[in-house]
Amino acid sequence: METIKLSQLITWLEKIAAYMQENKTYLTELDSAIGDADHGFNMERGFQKVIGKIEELKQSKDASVLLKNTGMTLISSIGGASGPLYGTFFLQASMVLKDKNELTLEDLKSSFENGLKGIKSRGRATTGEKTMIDVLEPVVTTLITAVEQNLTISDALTNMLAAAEKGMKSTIDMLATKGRASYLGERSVGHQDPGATSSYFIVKALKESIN
Amino acid sequence: MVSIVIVSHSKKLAEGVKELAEQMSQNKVKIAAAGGLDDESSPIGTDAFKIMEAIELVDSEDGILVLMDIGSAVMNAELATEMLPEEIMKRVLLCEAPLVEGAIAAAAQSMVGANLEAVVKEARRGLQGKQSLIGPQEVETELETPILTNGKEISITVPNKLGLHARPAVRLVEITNKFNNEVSVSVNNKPFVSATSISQVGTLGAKKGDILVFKVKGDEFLEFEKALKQFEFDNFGDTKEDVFKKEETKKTLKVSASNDDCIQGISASKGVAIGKAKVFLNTSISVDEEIVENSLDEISKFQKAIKNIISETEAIKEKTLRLHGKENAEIFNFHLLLLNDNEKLKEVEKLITENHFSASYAWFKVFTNLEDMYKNMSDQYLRERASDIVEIRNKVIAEISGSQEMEITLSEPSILVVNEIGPAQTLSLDIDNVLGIISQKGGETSHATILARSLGIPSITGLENRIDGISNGDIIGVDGTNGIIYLEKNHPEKIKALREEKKVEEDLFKESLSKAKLPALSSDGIEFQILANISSPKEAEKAFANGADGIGLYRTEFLYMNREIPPKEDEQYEIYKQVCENMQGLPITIRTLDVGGDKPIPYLGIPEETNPFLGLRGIRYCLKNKVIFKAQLRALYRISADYNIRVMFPMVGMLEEVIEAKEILAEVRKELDAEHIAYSKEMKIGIMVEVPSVIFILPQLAKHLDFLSIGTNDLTQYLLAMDRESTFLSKHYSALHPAVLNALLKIIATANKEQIDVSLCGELASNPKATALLSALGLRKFSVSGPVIPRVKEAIRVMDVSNNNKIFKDIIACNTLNEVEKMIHI
Repeated sequence: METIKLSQLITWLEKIAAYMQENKTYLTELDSAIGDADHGFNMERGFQKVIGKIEELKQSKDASVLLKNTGMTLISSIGGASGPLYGTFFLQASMVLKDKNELTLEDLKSSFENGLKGIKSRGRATTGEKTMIDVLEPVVTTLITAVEQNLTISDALTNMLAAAEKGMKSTIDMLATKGRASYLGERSVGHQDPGATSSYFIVKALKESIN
Repeated sequence: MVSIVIVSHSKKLAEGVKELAEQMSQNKVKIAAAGGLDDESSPIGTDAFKIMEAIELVDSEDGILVLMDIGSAVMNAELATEMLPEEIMKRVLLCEAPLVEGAIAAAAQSMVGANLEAVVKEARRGLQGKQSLIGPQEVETELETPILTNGKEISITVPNKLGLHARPAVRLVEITNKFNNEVSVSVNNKPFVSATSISQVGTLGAKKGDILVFKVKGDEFLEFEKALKQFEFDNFGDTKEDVFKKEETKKTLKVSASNDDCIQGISASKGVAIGKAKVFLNTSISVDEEIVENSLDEISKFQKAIKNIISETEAIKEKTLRLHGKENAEIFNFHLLLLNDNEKLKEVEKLITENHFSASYAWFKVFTNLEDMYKNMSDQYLRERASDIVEIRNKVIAEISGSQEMEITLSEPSILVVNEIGPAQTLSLDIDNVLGIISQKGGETSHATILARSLGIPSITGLENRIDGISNGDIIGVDGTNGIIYLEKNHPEKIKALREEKKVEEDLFKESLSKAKLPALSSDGIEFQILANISSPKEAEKAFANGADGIGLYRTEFLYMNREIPPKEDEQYEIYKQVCENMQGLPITIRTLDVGGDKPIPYLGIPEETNPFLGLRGIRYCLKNKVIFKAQLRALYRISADYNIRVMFPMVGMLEEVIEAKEILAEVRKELDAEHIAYSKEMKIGIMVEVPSVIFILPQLAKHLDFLSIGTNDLTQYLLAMDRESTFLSKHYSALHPAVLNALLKIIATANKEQIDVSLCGELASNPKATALLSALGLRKFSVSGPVIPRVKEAIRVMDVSNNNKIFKDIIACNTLNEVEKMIHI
């Protein structure tokens, strides 16, 4: 059966870190339009901390420990709201991966599903509010469908990325009702949400590290 | 003890709040700060682990209250709690209270050993202190206060002849507001309305004999009840004279069938006027419905306009008080209460936010409804309040739209023909050019009419469309006494007769004026000086015409009002010069800026004080604001080069102030010397005697000063410790009180002994009935309001100073105010 190896998850984290570094300015620019202009710095700092611990992470005995430590690192280093949010995502995702050294599509689905649940309850947000959920929710939906349709991991990831991109772009026309951007009210419309954008990079990194 | 954790994005903020809360709890409560990130390059942010550690650090069996700032602080605090061992987790409480206020309130509560529930409750109420001081109005506007229909009941009977008209309604609202109760009121089984809303109380329409029923909830029920009973006992503040006035004017209400001969209206103010008609008929303002999406902008526009009109009205009230007395000034209390009426303001704001009406339209709609309500009142007096509503309505609309309210300007003496005119507009008229006022709407008790009467302008009202035939430029005759208007083109003979009548009137007036110009000599030949109190060059001109022997008090603060920055030295110089020119060389005493927390001049930056009358007033303000003070002193010194002026400092209470002020005067002289600007070294310096402490140090002060001027209004207020505006104390507030008279005696006697010039410029001097009394106390110099100069001079002429000894003994024998008043027949 087709699975995702721990080493591929390590590559995923490294790729996320690279994307965050590469797009630091871009994310910050997006955030400066509707937030407090720190998202790029925060994400970069958080994932650089993860990279700093990568050798330790490589020693993780299972995917659960790997993602849990990733989550903890993000919580203690990001600083802004994405710290507890992404931290919660990885922590919750890790909960369903106990003793797993490789992940089936089903495992990937449950971990993302649980992670999304964590973010939603932490941020008390749902879709349509111009947040990372607008990317992660359709991604999870795609995964559920992929499992039902018994798709290959590769096909599932392709669909996931397409859903993520669509979700990210959909935030442009949305009115922010959560987070710092909500203070702007109507003026938040017309800008792509930085949190949705970083979520898109996380999904993009996953696809690229598996293929 | 409940411990507290402070979470913030900023380490400094968290530490600072911790410090404040610790100080509050005298270090008895365990408090931990979890602020910022341990990353020097980017220290702003929150860290769930740090929060977790902080909670563990102050862990207490009684509970841990966590307060945080925004965004990630909340999420990380939650996350931290979830990561804690379960036994600790269950005693942690995250609280949404404001960080600083919540922490301080929680610390104070925890310190006394309260449980977690009580501490949280207190933290949540942390904003209350601030709210009670400064708002928030916005929050309140959302909460519709239901009208109280239960509670303890009080009933009073409307005692006064005119019923609950504007002035008693204003007083009633004031009384209600004084106490910490929730109060509603009803009459004749009508629905209860809020007793703090002037629009609602004013429209109850309670007449004499009606029973007002109050429902009261609150701690100060008994106090309120007592105040209400007193109010009832005091005839709702109406004097018998009010009733008399009304009856007197009622007699003239007989509107005879209008015939072709003339136009018959209601006599509003007696007297005769003949002149050109100046017609201003299109004064009714209408605003069309307009939808504006940005309600917030409209709300702020609206609030700003209200604020501006309130301060404008306060200035008009102040001016009226000064020029036309307390009775007339009280007219504007009704305007102010309308502008401060929360019920109405809320109604307007609701229309703006919910219906998206423009501020102008919302205000127009609400106030036009109110106008209609008043117009349909069964009581005539209340009906005639409609013109006040219209004036306030139009003023605010003009202010919102930034347009000028229709200004009535007269370039030559004319008879004004208008739809209707409000009191403020009446006061803004150039009185010299207004021969008479004719209005379609209005009544004999409308506020504009009352003012016209006190200004002596013949006036006829209630004419409706009977004046349609009058056009601009027509020569018309106004017989104010009989309420009849004649057109010259129809009745040249009537106009001729009126002209003759007018001439007789004028001759009589001239005669009394020419007499006024003569010196005031008592029947036994003692000379008195009768000076005038003024505030502008124009008033100086009138004072001169009325026979003033000089100016005893020129109040300069009005130069500083209703503007954005203080008047420059040159501007002041020009105005002082005009006053001097208008007085044609007579001596002028100029009082330096007398301001305080009670007079609204925003740019002066006077702090809001709990007790403005005991705060930064008069000289106290000037000594602290030398730039403003010096500009005025420079202007005054420059004037002294060419004119006979004296400079007087207000609100002096101690020698130190005089010394400091004189040092500044010396600095100014030095500056002028250096700039080779001329001034008089002989310019006399004096003070107002109004702070009681001065009475005990007069000999010391006299060594540094050239003159004293007693301000009895403030002296009475400070000596008796009675707010002169208080309606509860008005019975005893009087400059004739034996305590005040004894103070005057001491001041005048000491001044004479020390050979320092003394005069009296309070209202007491303007009362001809008190002239002999003041003379008996040794006073020879009176400063009075311009129009009463002839009467005070007359009082002196019929007085025999050799009788003073007897009067003096009588005064000294008086023990109560009542006895004094009886003695001088007040």
